[in-house]
Amino acid sequence: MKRLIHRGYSLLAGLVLALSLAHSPASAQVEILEEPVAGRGVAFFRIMVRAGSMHDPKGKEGLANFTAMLLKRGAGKWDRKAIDERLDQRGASLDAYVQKEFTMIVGRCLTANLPEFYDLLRAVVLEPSFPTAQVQSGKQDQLEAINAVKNDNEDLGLEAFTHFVYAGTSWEHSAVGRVSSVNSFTRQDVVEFYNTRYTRDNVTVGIGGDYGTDGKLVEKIRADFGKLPQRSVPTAVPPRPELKGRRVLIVEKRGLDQGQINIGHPLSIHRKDATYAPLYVAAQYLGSHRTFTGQLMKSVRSDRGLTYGAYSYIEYFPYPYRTGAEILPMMNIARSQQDFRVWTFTLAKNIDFTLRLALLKFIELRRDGVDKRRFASVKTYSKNKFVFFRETPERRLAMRLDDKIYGTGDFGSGFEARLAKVTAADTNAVMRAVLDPDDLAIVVTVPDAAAFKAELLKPGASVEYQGNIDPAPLTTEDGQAKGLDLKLSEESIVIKGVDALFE
Amino acid sequence: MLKMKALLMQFLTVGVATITLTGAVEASELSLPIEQQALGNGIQVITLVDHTMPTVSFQVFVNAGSRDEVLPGKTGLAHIFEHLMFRGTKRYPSYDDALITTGAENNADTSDDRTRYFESAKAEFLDKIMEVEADRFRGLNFDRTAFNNELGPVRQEREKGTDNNPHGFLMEKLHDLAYTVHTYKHDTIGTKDDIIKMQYEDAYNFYNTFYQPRHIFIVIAGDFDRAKALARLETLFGGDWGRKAYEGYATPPAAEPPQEASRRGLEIWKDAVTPPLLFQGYHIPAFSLRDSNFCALELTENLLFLDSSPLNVELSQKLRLVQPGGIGGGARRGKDPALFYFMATLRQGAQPKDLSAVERSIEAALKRLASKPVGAKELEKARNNYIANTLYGLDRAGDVASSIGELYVLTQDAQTLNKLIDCYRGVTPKDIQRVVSTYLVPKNRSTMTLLPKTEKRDGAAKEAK
Repeated sequence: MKRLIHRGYSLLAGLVLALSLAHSPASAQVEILEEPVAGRGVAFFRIMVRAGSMHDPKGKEGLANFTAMLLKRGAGKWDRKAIDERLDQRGASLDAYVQKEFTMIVGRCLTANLPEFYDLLRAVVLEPSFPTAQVQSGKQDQLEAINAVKNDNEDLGLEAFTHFVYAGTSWEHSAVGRVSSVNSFTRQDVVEFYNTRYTRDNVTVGIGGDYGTDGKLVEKIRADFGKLPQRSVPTAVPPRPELKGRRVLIVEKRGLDQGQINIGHPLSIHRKDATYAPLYVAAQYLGSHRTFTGQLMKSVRSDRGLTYGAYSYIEYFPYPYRTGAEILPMMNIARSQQDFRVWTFTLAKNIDFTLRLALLKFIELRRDGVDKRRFASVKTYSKNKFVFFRETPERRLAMRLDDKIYGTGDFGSGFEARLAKVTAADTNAVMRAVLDPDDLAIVVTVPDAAAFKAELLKPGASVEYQGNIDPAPLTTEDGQAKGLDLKLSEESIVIKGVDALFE
Repeated sequence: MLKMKALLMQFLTVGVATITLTGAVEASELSLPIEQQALGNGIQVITLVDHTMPTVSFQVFVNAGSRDEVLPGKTGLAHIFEHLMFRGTKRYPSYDDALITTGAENNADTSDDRTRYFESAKAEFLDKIMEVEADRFRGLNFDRTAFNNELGPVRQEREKGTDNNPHGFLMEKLHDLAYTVHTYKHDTIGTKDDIIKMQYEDAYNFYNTFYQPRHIFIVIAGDFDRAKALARLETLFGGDWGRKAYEGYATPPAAEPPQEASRRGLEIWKDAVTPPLLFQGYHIPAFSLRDSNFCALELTENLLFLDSSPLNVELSQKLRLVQPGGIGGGARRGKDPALFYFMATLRQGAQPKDLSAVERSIEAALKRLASKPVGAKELEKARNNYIANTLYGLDRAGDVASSIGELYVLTQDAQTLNKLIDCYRGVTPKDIQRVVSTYLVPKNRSTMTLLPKTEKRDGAAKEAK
């Protein structure tokens, strides 16, 4: 079976090559975006390759990630040891990560080391050697990456949400793939994937910081990357899954005292749409990330102490601690198909109540609309906060690369003006148009799935407050949350173990 | 235009021009235009103006963290106060609402040595930020309801970072093992028992003692007018705050006696899928630039843990005992003698014998560094990485303010950031040998291991305890 899939992929790759060669304009050059800051002393690269996990061949899930991982393990005249040595010697960094729709290669160095660093970067992107020994050891490393997701409760919750919402599509699997697919990788798979996806049409080179004003480096980049094969590779349209009714995925992870709650559904709009700005304000109003601005944070955390955080999003937002960015999203995580999502976490015994409470707050906001005065404040907050999304040259460059995914012109420079024009009526209208409390995916991680399923199916929920919280002022709303009809049936609830998400 | 970036560039430009083929940075010292003034009540204000930045960052440091929780059974107070400070005042019942229209990026964090409150925003909002910040420092609405309501989120934060996180959990155990009397023994979040038993009066005493001018300093960096800001701060933060320190906090943390022999502990995690972990801590001196010891320890960190370092290559690539990126650590910058960490995350399914093999590799790496001077190229590599990372971290107003403030906590010298690179540059191979053979030695070491749960291991852990 694996061999057949492999052969099928090879044939497809050959077909794509033949078709695209026939349609390629001979004069096309690699696209280069620049964000210069003279005299800064530090230069950086962000190279986007349209080689995302959605492009993984069937049965080879995780191949884009594997290919990206191997880039640095042998390229040009250097082996892995020499590459690591040259980077470390210069205090430089070079890494790659994979999103649904692209691979992002990110590098940084002191300007003084730019010539040597660029030589290395060029080799890594354009002349990877994919040594056989590294393919073997790399498979073990990618299996460890799968384990790392399983062991990280926040990552696991978010991956499970995507897995559930996009089941049966090219977005279902995690970028790190599945255990069986990773075990099946061969060097030939990697070479074919690289040859198919790392083409001139598929690459956008972003360079920023202090890289010189004479244009020589940019010319060199243009010449070097121009040697990539000219070939337009069909880019599959991102899936827009249909979600009917409320469906629940319960992921069982034994030993947990605290469970993750993700509630949401695919969105029908994104950045380029006129209704994006009013919806952006709505998401801030309901659950601005890591602030007390949102309604969720007030109700779930401030009033009840049930959680440390309760937020809502209209764009993919992986838990950002490991990047050091606590409030802003990671750079270059764009997706042209986005989800509305509410995220919180609480003690295992309070998950049922907390998810009902979060759902109640969402339903109320959509039904009743925003408070006009509060809305004005949140809108101004959203507008003035936007400076941080463009605070550094690297963030500005990243935003321009995101424009490529979203098909937006220059989103960064125009968004504050768009926000300024948003009215409460706009926000209420778009919430009612695109947010749907009846068609929802609810994904929770719990220590005992069967018990939790039974809890969900029985009417009502209970809550156990910690500390000396006075429940009296909360009684009315608690009653509403406890009595909220989840509209679930036996058939609408699926239980999976952690391993099943990656098999 | 100016000033910080121009001077930073000057440093960089010099550094750039003199980089050798092997990448050594031989530039003159970093020279950021950091200034320091004092308000009438003694609050130190450290400023760095840079009009090229699109934002300004305002950060208030309270010179108290979990290190200062010297009363038995009263851990976690510094941290809960970080939470309580968001509970509003009479004038501004909601802190976040008071600043909402500014769009300020605001938050706070607590460590062993300090608590930090920070806001960054467009320059036009600095005045509002300072006013709201001063208001909560002087008039916090600190009542029992606020206190009670905040205990839940703190519990949840602990559940997330410690009780359901094997790395956080083992780090807490390592500190508990490595220290016998000093308050670095407990983690900043506080012990589970202490959080549950925490009383309003305990928090009140901590607040009155440490949230007053003599324990506070302010850092402002980015796009702002220094003279105007200082004048405004005198109005907002100046004068006597009228708080009486609680006598229980008059005694500083007990000094940790020298460790006489290596220590060891074992924990069994609550699930079967977590990979084995090995954490070690070696006692090292407090942060200081008075001699080369601490900078030598920081460069030792790079000699041990960079991707191309012999230890990293051996463990992750040759022996394949740890996960990719699964070996790391380094010297913690502490007000008091702290720890040099080794943190290894083994591959899934690794056995106890693999933990021993990792330990042997670490010990052998330390012996190599102690017995033979490190080569010039290796030392340059370690140095270049530290210098580059110091510079990479000066991109945003918030990062600049934080870098300056974190070092001031440790040295009470606002220019410490400017002196760091010179310090790294002064480290010699002999310094590396000296600090490794003095501090990173077995008798100075505490080792904690964590294994996934199996029935057999459950029993072994109980025996070990």
